[in-house]
Amino acid sequence: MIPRTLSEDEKRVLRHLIVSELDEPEVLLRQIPFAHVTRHWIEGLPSIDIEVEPGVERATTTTRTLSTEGNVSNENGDPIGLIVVWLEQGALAGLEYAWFTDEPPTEWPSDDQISVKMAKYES
Amino acid sequence: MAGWEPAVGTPTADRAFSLPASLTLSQVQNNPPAKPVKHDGGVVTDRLGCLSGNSSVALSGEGRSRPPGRRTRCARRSLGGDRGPSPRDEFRSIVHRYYDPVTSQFLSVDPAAELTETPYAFTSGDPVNESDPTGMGGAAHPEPCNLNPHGRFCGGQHLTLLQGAGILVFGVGSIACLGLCDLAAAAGGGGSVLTWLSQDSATTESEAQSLSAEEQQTYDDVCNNANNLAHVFAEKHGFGDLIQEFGTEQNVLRQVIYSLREAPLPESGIYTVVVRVGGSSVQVGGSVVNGVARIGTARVVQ
Repeated sequence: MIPRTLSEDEKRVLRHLIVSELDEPEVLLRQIPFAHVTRHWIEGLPSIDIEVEPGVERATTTTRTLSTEGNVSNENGDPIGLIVVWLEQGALAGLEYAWFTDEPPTEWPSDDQISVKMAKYES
Repeated sequence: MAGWEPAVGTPTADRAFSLPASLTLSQVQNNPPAKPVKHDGGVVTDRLGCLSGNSSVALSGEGRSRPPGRRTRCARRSLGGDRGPSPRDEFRSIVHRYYDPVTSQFLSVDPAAELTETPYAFTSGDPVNESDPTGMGGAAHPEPCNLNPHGRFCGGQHLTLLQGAGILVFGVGSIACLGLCDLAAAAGGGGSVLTWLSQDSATTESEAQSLSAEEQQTYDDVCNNANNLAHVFAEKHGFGDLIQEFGTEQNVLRQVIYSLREAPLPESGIYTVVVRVGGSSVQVGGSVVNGVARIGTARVVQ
């Protein structure tokens, strides 16, 4: 059912990336309970659009993505994907799980599969 | 009514259109031509079969892939606009030379062959991006074609369109860019349409615009899986303007892959690079696996 609140996995992944964010991570963390999933990018796949309820404090950043991103590896340590947190006017706006494998992932990876790094570029 | 014989591929003087039953041709805009010829079904052309002036046509039918609202125009260059039929009606006179739409070749040697190095081919085999209104060589097209030479298909899959009606959409658009206005050839030319219009890597792309085996793998990895393509071109990634510029997501992807040639990719492992595509900067994220740069995500940097 859309819109819906974030699932526990979605909240977990968001927190995992946001805690390493340089700019106002606490503001973004406080948005999570008030965030809703408005759309899946592709039906059945993890990436989602998010909207934060009006009146909830926004961060002052104007960037479209977090300064951190998550590199996802499989059990052998091979890179299999990339997680990006999208922002819009200081509010959480999306959670993207890109993949490099033949088949797309259908669920979020565990925390120990995610290596949080500073994004090489910002937009 | 004078007509077109698809089996022979010979246009008559008036050159009306013969379309497969699966298509309908309707005029959606018409500025009256100087000497209009009205054909059965209400189609108005000039004496060469051009939809004159700013006339446009809309094609519909199975396999159509042109976005709604995109119109094809019949360029009226130095093609002898309203003059009567040529002594050799089966060929197109392009000022300096005769052109055979059936074989897609000129019939006489290019007067500028020393420069073009293509004594008989039309626009060096790249009619989509070049034009040759005088038959003197392949001049750059004066305006963007905004064509969709591959439609919504990837790689060589557009060949399957030849068996359907979709190729006609490309044919009309490409011919309009050529200025040949040869709707009839598009409708009935059969294999010659492929030679003329398909920007196929095996036929008309220049070497510089061909994909290496590894690059083709990169392309196929994205295009051969609907989820991959949908993800890379997700709305948030902001590719709308580039898709408008290059016609399709697949065409944009090709441009991205061309641009990756200059990017500092690792020999293996994750990469994030920013490349120039058209007038935009595009950030591409992926992983190099066995020499193939797999693309996981990409977005236009604002």
